[in-house]
Amino acid sequence: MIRVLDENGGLLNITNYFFFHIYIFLQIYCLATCSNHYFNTYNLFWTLIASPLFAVGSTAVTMSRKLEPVCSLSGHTDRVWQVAWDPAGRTLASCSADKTVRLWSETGAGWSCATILADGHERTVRGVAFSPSGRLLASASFDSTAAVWDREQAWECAATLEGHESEVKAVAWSRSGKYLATCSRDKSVWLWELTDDRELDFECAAVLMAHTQDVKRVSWSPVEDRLASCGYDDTVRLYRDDGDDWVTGAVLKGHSSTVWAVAWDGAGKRIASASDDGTVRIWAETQPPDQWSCVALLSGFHQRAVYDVAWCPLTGLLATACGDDAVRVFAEEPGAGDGGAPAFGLVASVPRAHGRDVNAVSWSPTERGLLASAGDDNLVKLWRVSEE
Amino acid sequence: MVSAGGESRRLEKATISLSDCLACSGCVTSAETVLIEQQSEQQLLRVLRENAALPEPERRTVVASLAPAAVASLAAAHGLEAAAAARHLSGYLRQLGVQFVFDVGLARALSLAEAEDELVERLTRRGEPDAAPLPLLASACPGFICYAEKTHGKLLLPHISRVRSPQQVAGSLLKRRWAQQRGTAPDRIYHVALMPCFDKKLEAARDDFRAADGQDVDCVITPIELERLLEAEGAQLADAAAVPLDRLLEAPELLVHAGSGSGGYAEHVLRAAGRRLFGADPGPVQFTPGRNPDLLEAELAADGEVKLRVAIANGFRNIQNLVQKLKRRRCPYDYVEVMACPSGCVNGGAQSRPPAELDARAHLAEVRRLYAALPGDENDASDAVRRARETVSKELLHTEYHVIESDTGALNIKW
Amino acid sequence: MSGSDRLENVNPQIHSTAGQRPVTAAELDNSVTDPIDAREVFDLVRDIADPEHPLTLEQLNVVEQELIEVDPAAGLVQVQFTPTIPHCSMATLIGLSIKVKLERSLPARFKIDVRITPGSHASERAVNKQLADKERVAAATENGRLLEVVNQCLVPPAAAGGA
Repeated sequence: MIRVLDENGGLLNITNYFFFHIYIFLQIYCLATCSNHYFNTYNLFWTLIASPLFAVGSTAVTMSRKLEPVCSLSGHTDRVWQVAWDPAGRTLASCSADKTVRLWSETGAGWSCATILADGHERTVRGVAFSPSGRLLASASFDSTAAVWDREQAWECAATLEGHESEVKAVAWSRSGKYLATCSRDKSVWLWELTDDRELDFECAAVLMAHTQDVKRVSWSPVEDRLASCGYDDTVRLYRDDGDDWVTGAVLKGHSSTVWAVAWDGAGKRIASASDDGTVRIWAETQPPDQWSCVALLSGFHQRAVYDVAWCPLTGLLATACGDDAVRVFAEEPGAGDGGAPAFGLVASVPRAHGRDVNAVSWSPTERGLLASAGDDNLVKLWRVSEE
Repeated sequence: MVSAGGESRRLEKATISLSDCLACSGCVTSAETVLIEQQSEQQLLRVLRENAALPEPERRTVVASLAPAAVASLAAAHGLEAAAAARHLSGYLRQLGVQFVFDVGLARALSLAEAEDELVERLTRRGEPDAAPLPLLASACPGFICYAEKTHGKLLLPHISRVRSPQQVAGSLLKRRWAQQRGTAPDRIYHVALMPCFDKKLEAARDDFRAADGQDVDCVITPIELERLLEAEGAQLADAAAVPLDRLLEAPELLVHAGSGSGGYAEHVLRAAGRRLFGADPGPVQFTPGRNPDLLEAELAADGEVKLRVAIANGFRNIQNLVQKLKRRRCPYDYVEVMACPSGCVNGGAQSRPPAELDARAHLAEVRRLYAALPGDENDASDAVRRARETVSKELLHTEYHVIESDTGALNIKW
Repeated sequence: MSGSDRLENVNPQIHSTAGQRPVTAAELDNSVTDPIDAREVFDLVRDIADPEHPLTLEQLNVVEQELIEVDPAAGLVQVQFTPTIPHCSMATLIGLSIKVKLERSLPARFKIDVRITPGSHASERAVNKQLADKERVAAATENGRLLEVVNQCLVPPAAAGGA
């Protein structure tokens, strides 16, 4: 599954190991106390085995970029679970355990909360997503519904999608805006088809029961009607339309615990997955259709669960949100890639980006290097990654 | 088995998990799982073995009822025509120790006739206070019943047809009417049904179908399990002798009911209600696909206006859309043939798997073709149907449903 | 004891309890920073009631001070708990009660890991995974009926307390 080869085709690279260990000891000062269970032997084993895959030499240790704070947005009264940009990059939505969605936008005086959507959900709002046109906002709630809010009706709640039997965890729009995917604690992924975009009527187009445990996240390819989902059964699963019905394709196995998030790259060729096992994996379709392999493992960087991963379509940078309070940014090593496995290096990080767990990261779709994050400290923050 | 290279390799045992076969796997409880597991091909073999060991006068009469969708599936998997497959099945089951082999065609004709009466009554009483609501939803799919009782009891149950499914009507006919005719006590009959899905086992085990002298259907087996029996013996279906089926109450063998792969409920009630209420039988019904190929709609027009609307809603997604339409009181149909499996019973969860050389879609097309080509003409059965309806009480053809609250106690809440 | 007719562990062994910790002068002095230690965490969880018995987790030896680790600098609290029997179906509920109690009581900066003492439960991995899933924990604490059960466990035991 993971081909353990460095660029020369050799299995072991002593230099890499050396730097890697230095890196670990620098980064994880508490390793000696064994107080962090993410550094169990399993992960250590994989980090050692797989270290030649991701250049952990000088690139990883010397941060070549800076993650500068832009602003901190307060208003939510409980943990913030997710943030999402509208396609124009002008509105940022955040959702919270305080049962609301807040819409933030930039005015002359900087970023501020423009709208609070408070009457749609009876419990935690776990996920939000803007439709490709920017007109509709979907929200997912522990109250087992998804709601659709309409910008043209002053952000009224225009539709409520009922059907899931328990907490809805995420929502995602397909690239055309025709489909909305939702996923739930009830182990299912539902596809809703927008059948009337005036009346905002949705019909259930598919109920996909591939996962064996709760489904944490859904994510559409940016280039085709292909969906990825991930969850508590440690897998990532892919779906496509076979003409009559939606069918399950590849199952990506490799993580040793819950996969919290999946993100496609801008070209729809690769998927990044973030897991409770403290790693991020990069997957590529090595043999279309539906033969996927793990082509890179980002291990040893995160001290606790990785709750979110975002792949910037403008810069190719990967950002992660982690239970160790940090936001990290990774860049793909130039040079790797022609037939060889890609390598990712850590290029920027803010160890205490939030006062508690970081739950979400999202890249601005229009402004290079602008990143939003959200955390258990009830805050939404904006960051700017400096160019190299 | 020995492969071409002479190397011996164990045949991989066809393992099935409930989730593969149950349309309603999401909501089956552990108690129900036990009920399902109690009915298996091994259980059937045990009963037949024990029965054969008894002295003649103490033996029970073992009868089998075959569902045409299951027959068509086995026929497709074994490269046989449906009627031939039914006769080989008949021979095979007799070889195992079954004494009588019927098909459920007559039982289904009764279910259809009862459903027709029920719809006509609801349409006639439409608008009256206390009238039963429309649309009427078909009750033949136990996966849908299981889901409706557990998830949307209050909303859905009033809409669901009170008519028993063909499997359970067959149970009534055999254990009551046929038993009486033969002078056999119902508890001296062991009734096994061959059905296209595992959920039929749940249906057979319902309290509503249990009398003091036992269940109407004692054991349900499926094509998957029948294949396992054959495989264990290294036998092919065609190896068994071809024996004509027994004819229940003189009904013709293997009746075909056109209109769908699930018994043709929507087509039957549309034509019959059209004839009885509006003097207009449209003839064979042309269904129009809705938003997906598993939603099919048809209507009946008379005097320049639409009088009746029916639909076939197959698969969970279409059940969901139906539920949402009912919730919002925006359901345009008078009758819906609801089946939990995509494509209906011909594609039931426990049907034979496609042979290696066929892809699933081509296999399903073949099952549909065989199913539609069953030899029995519905019109030749009208006398048998009339006689059966005259002599079997309505109670034995109707049933009740129950809202099931999922109360497991606060200590057992799954989180 | 709603929802369960029979006790799984009919005769649990009852253990003696630690005494009350003497209050030190430094604790009374507000000018002294008082780092949280294992004893303090133990004091928070020892009186949680078992969902099935009128006994505390301390009396049942489900929690022990020796199985609590605190790293105040790193902001980590790790609690291991030991179900009374290896098939105890209440294990996740006990773990949830401990987690909720600590989340409510400790400063927000602490990461709280509640896990089963290795080798003490048949479903150790599954229970640990569920307790480590903050989303499931969050959803559980929004479930009114479940929260009611947890809150009952967190009410300080009656004076009689089974001791």
